[in-house]
Amino acid sequence: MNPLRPNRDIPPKLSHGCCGYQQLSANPLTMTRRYFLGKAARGLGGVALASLLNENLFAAPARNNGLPGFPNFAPKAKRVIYLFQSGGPPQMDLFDYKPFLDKVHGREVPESVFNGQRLTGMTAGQSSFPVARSIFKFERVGESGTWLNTEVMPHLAEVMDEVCLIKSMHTEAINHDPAITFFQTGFQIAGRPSIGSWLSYGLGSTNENLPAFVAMTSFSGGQPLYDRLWGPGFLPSRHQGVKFGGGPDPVLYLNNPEGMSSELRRKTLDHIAAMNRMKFDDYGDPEIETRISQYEMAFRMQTSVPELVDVSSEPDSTFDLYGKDAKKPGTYANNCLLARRLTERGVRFVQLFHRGWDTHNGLPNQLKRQCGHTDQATAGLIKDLKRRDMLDETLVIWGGEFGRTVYCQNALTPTNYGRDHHPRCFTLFLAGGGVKPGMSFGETDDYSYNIVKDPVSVHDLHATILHLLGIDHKKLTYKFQGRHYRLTDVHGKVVKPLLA
Amino acid sequence: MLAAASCWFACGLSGEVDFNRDIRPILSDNCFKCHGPDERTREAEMRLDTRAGLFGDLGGGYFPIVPGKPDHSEIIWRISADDEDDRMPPIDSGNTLSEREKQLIRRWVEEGADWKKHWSFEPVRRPELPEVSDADWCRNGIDYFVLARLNAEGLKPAPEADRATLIRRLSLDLIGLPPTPAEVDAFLKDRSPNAYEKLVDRLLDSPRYGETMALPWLDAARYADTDGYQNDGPRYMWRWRDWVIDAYNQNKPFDQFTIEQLAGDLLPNPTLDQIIATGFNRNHRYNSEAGLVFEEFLLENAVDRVDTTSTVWMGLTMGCARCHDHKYDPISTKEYYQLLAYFNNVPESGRARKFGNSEPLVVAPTEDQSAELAAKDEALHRTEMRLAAAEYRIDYDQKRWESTAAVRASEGKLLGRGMTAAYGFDGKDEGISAAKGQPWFGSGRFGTAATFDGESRFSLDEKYHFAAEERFSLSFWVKPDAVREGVILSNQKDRIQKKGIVAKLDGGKVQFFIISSWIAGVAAIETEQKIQPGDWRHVTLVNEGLMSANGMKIYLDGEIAQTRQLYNSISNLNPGAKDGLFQIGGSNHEANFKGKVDELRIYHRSLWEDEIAILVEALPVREIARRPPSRRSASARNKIRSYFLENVAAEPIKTLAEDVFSLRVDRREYHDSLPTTMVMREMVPRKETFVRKRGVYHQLGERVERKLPEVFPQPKEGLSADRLGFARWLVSGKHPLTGRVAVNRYWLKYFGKGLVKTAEDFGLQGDWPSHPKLLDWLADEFVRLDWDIKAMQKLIVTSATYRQSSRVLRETLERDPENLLYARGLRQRLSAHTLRDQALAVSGLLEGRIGGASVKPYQPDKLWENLSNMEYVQSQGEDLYRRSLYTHWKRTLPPPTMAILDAADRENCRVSPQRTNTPLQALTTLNEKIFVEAARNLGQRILLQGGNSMADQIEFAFRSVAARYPTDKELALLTDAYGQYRKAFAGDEEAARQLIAVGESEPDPTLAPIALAAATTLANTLLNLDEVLTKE
Repeated sequence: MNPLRPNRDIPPKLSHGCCGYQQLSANPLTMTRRYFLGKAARGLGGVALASLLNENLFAAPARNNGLPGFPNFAPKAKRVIYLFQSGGPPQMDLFDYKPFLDKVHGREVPESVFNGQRLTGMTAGQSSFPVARSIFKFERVGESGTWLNTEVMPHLAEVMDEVCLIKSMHTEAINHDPAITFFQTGFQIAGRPSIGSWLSYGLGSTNENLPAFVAMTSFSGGQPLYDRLWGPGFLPSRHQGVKFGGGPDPVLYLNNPEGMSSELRRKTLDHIAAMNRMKFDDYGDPEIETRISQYEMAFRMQTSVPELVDVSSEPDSTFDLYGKDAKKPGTYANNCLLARRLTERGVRFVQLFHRGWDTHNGLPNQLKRQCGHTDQATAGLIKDLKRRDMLDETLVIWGGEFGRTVYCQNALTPTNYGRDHHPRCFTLFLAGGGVKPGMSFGETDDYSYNIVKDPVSVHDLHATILHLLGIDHKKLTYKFQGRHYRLTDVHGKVVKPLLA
Repeated sequence: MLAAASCWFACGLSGEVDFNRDIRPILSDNCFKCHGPDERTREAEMRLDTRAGLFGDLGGGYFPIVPGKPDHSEIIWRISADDEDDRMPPIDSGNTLSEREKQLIRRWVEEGADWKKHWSFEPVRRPELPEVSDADWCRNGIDYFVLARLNAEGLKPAPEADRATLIRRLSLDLIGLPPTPAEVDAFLKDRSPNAYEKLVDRLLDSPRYGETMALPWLDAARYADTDGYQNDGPRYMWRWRDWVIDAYNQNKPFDQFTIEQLAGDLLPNPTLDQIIATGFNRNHRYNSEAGLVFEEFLLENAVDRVDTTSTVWMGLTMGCARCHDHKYDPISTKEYYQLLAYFNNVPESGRARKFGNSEPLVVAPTEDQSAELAAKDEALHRTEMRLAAAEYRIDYDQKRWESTAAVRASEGKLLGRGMTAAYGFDGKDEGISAAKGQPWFGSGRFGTAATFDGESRFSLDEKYHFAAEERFSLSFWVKPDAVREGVILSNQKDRIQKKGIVAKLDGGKVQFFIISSWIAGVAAIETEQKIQPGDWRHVTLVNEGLMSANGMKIYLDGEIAQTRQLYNSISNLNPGAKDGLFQIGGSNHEANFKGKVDELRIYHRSLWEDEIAILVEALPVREIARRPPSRRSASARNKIRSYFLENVAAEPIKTLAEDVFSLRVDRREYHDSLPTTMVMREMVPRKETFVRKRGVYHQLGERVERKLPEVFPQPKEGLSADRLGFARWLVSGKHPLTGRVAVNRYWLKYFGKGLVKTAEDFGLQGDWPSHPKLLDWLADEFVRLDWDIKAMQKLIVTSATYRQSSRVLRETLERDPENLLYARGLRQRLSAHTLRDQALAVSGLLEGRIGGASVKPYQPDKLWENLSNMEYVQSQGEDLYRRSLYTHWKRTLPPPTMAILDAADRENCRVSPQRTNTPLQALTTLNEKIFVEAARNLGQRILLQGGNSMADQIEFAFRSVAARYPTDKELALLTDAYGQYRKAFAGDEEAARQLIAVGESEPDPTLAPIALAAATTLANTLLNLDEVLTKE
């Protein structure tokens, strides 16, 4: 016999039955959290303490409770569905109606309008900057009489009275990556937490079986997307948005390997838990308990997520609202429907990214395609939330990372034109969640080139979103590299006129 | 606040108040924003971050602090004021002082208000080893400091961990892989007193050590395989990555390690390796978006270099001073840009290539490749010598041929190898048509020439495609008329993007353009020399396929011309895809040419200089043949010889000459296939640097020169004001931060956190060190040991502190939940990389090759395709099983397994690793393909090597993953589990077959599927045990 080998009676006998595996050990060390809260809190601010707890001691409590003192005041919105239109939708072809452009169509944009604005490297070398009017039909819709391109957005037309248009958005970035990173994190350079991660960190989750922040994408083609758009930056990584996909694995690695049944998986999890509990009894590391609970949550997700993404139980009326595409995983319409199902289940921040809005050329056809994919579902989501009495507490946001130029990029023909990136003004809309319905805010000049009234910066938008969620944007901070960072950096004002 | 946390239980309110530890963090966090270094935002002219500011007269008899007299100190009154209007910090700042903080400040004033410079800016002074209760416990200096502190807190160190735990801990720490059961046995058996040290030495000598040490360095250096923006195209920096691995394995001292990475290119006669090392500061993200403004990203690149270099070597958050004076640390904006001036003088365009490495770069063959290249040179040389040796015979044959009538044949095949087309413009049907106006054939350099009046042009019927990334050459004779501008030739088609290549004259200068889209993608050069109207000149345009103006050349009459770059912004592959017909004498949308063009040759290879000289020779071959050899010029001799060898020579000369050519081509093609890597280089003259107001690229402020921040000791005379001087200043041994920051990261690697917990911030907002004297002792030791990196690792892992058990005792958990005092060992989940590598190792799947291009292991389907415009082409065979540090890292879509398990994202410099514990991680290690495939391969080992009984098999499996033997209870539980797995598959062989088919390695056909599936499941369970996921 190997002298190194411990003496042991063979065969071994079980000292307790399998049925006992699930029982949680009553180790006295579980007191640490309460202990720490009591003793340590004296020297520390509440915010600091919570982050310390999360990061260093109890890496991830089973339930993400957010920061103490948050929300700071009664929220109007409890959750957010952000419909990000990636690529930069053309404001003057959708919302920012400019009949004046008919008069100057084909003429050079006057220097007084450019006013020193920088152009992208793609058109800076163009020798001519002719105005391209929108070829689409605009109509006044709803009680509010809001102008809208009803040709490509007939469904949105039906809910414009719920919508609060901001025609005076502006941004600092002129290229996709910095611009979308700016919208998502409040900073153009990668490295900071995304807006949903900030909310997960500040407000926590309300559903033990689902993350606080879910991201979904649709349409392949157009500008790429990046994991950082739903990334946690320097926040603890558990605040990252969990990406739900359209395939057989709606969450990565959710499915057991081929050949391993759910029953067998349950058995292995029981064995893992029982072994871990023995380890905990011996070693006393509270992290082991956390591990046990995380494995349990993983198992619960294996049930809750497929149930969530399975829309077959939805009645026909649902698909009347969202369109038939909503049955097809990976489509914008399906994602909109999932967004509703996720928010119903308490997910705090759902963000959809739809690609393909980067209309440098062939804009008319591209715009028809984009709206064909999105218009009905966007409107359907708003209607659906409304009929479920969820709209009041759900903030819906629709918008891209910048707008597009009034001057034509590439060939200008009677039926075709393209537009370059335009950061100086563009349109974004909000609905529900405590914003004024049926209003338009801000104005642009005749060329939809400069803002003439009520500019709203990205930081202002962020401050306003946080405000609607009951958060003072100056208070939601995280210390990193010696600095207290916040989503709005050192800027941002709540846009009060938008609030209901 | 973290500083407060680290001393809350240790210093309490008794004992002396230490300004640096107790007071400055409070002032910094609460006051400096308005009363600190930043002049622009300073309120009430009150400055509390300097001695003068704290103790000076505010006027009217007010002093912020009067030592010993709290009641005469303005600050004490302010922080205690009842009235909100008087109280500091003000309510709207969001800051408040706790009672404890107020009391601390008061006590500090009472005790005399002793003020010190911020601790980390003070020089390192080697402390004496402290007195301890139990010197026997101490194995080296580290332990004295740790034990003294434990003594002071009334705590005892934990006992030493058992041997199985120690070998697993050491192996995972030093080589990133678990020990094999045989290695564990050997260590258990070795009862010699230095068994532990021998083990440490064995591990430090393993080449796996370099890989393991490289990982945190790659995180800090934001190393990745893509550019990190938008399309996030690939780049190839693995030669730099392998340099790092090699440097650690060779135990390159830290000073040299530093100098080579920051300034290897500036060393005298740098080696290729030293130049490759400078890739450190090219690893940052680099935007390739077509629309970007170059100046903006030139600044972002330099900013990233400054921030990363400052964090890695000095633990400073320099980036804060980009837009305004630092709010906390004594670094002004001006000083920030003075430092930036060391890092912005790089010859780079400001926009990255969409695919591949961006300039500046070097061709960086590996050792094997260098040998291969040398062999090709040798082969070429040998063949050339053989041809030279046949000189007499060739001469003889050539003379005979020159005297025959054959010599009067045409010269069509002169330099015909690799030629795409030639046009003589001799009025014959050569596939030329008039494209506009009426070009004609006037008298030419040879025969007739294409002749243009400024209103006309020809087009070539055949289409020729050219790409910026491919070699090509165009050669022609040109004779401009009085008007010296206009397009000589062009294959552009569309008017807006202007894709194609262009040769034109501008004021007599010859210009050569390659355009992918105007003006975002243009490479162009022009000659300094002007050609005169009325003169025939020979022009050769050569593109070396570098996608860069740096790879474009113009030869005038066979001499390489001095050129100037007009544009260098090509970033797309294959810009010629939409080009049109070749037009001679003009293009669709630019001024046409007036004059003559003759003898156009098109090559899809770059011509060598000796070939160009032959093309320039004006005498036709038959004319040369008529002259006696003594009256032939050198180029004439070469021309006729070249023609003879190519067209006339008999065997074996003919073949020999062909061999020389093909070996030449082969050598060049091989050279073109060699890896490149991005490096640092200096521009001459040096670029000017300006302060950027509010950090914005086009808001230029004052012009500044290179200078190091004043808070630090200035370099001695003789250090150059460049990166090399900067690097030498860092590792002079006198810099207060370099050593502290480096040893702190080593400590972090083994103990999960630094002695300064904020490893990235040693500034005023950073944490107070938990063991300041230990930190200084280690920093001093590092310098004393001549920056010997391996010696420092050995010092740490041979300490008694490191060797403690990580069992968590109730008392120490209560007293010190974060283990800041080190009364126990570290117990921490393994890193993402180590978890995957461990699974590969214990299953036998691990492919151990070191270095080389990055690989693409399994990834869920369509992950890239759904979000980006790129296809993930999975690697095959053994590349699926390489160590995780070789996994291709796409910054915007990192490998999901790694991202879920908290690997650093490589977007920016990261020096503090994260460890979380989430359900997604559980799903990953349970279900991800490689973990399941590893479980099956471990399952195979269990069945083949684990013995016959279930107990033996379980024990084998358990020891493979956990090093130790299972306890009886564990064995019983696992035996029961294993039995259940067998039963589960016994009734469902199809399921068993499915499970064992996961992954691309073939399941062992000699094993019964049911047994293998059960063993696979057992391994899957074991690989998910907390203990196995954890370093204990």
